[in-house]
Amino acid sequence: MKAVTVDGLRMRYGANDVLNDVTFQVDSGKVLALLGPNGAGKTTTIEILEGFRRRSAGRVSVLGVDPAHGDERWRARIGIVLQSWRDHAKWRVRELLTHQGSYYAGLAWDIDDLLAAVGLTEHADKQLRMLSGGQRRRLDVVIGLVGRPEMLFLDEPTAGFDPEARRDFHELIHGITGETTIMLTTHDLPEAEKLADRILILSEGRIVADGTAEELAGEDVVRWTLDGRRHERSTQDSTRFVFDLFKRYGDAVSGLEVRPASLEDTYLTLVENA
Amino acid sequence: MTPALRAGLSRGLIELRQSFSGSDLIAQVFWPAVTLVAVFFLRNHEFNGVKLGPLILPSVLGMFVAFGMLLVMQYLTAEREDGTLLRAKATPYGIRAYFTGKLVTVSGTVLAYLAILLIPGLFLVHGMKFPDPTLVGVLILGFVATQSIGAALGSLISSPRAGRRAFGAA
Repeated sequence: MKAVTVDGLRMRYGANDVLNDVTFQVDSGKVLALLGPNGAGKTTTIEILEGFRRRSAGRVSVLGVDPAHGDERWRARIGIVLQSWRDHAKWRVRELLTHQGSYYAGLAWDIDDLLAAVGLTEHADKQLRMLSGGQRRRLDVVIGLVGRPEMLFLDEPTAGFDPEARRDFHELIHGITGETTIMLTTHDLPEAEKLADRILILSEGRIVADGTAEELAGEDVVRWTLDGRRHERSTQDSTRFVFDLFKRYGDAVSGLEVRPASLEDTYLTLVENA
Repeated sequence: MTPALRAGLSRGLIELRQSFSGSDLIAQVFWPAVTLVAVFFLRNHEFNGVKLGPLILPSVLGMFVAFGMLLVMQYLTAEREDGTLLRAKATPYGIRAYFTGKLVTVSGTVLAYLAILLIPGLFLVHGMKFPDPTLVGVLILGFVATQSIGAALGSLISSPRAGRRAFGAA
């Protein structure tokens, strides 16, 4: 089952193509991370899928419905966390979460469980304007989750999180994967590697890479010296390769270096070349 | 009652309570109180043999009902900026609940203004016909009419500052 299907998506402002022939799919219950530099079109893509922005061309389907014509019932199956929110400053944390839950008759999670899951229990009676940036963000995330969405969109959910909040957030996401299809944008590559089943790299409105973190990271690089000469080899399985190397040459091998494959290298290469 | 209506009602009451608590309370009471003082000093002045009191008290009541229009515009422009409307859009039946809530909050606010003016006003100004059943009908009609206009105008104005400039007020 595909939760999201995007085919030939194009977004044009005036003479500018912000998105050009974007095609991808997300399987039900999977996590897709959308990576790319600022201005690559990540937020625009997400907003089209959320039904907040009308596309110029292409076919889009989210949970079997074209977001441009999504009704309220479709809306209820979707959770949204936008990039920045300063709304409801005077509301109290529990008050707003309870209120947002009331739109999903009978479906909503238990409010106290949700607050506990993101460590906001002790702040439940605070006004939103008194929360720190990270606390505010965590509240935004649970508001996105409150109606048990089948599909969750997260636009840079962990921007401004400290390491602990980030780890808690990752656990929260791990806890709901399987039931919920998740699409998130992030600038944090290790985060994408950790959370996503698949990674999509967007650059200047085009998809430049699509695959699992391992596929995109490429191969490990092994360097060593033998008989006074430097050697270099790329390999999928560097541990096995080094083991064989020593078995063959013993202690004649020196200056061994193993550089593991890294998503960051691939990302930077792709984005610079684009 | 539909879920949107129920959610709107609860939104409206929560925000009404917020706008009458803490430091906001002073700002809320200030204008109707100042207006009441003006009514007090002008009430016995005569104009063509008519006392001003019974003339201006109903007039300022009408003005405060119309003030609901400005309130809706201000809420709308400010809450479009901070993301409240977008959150409503992301929620099933959220926009309907949002506008229902605004009608409740603003009508409640205006009712409070009217009470501040009318309750002491009835003792200060003589010659008023009160209670008058027409008043209720006129008030309800006035709330819905002025606030609908406010919502329509508010959607045309791009930022809270532009809204204030357009009316040179508040």
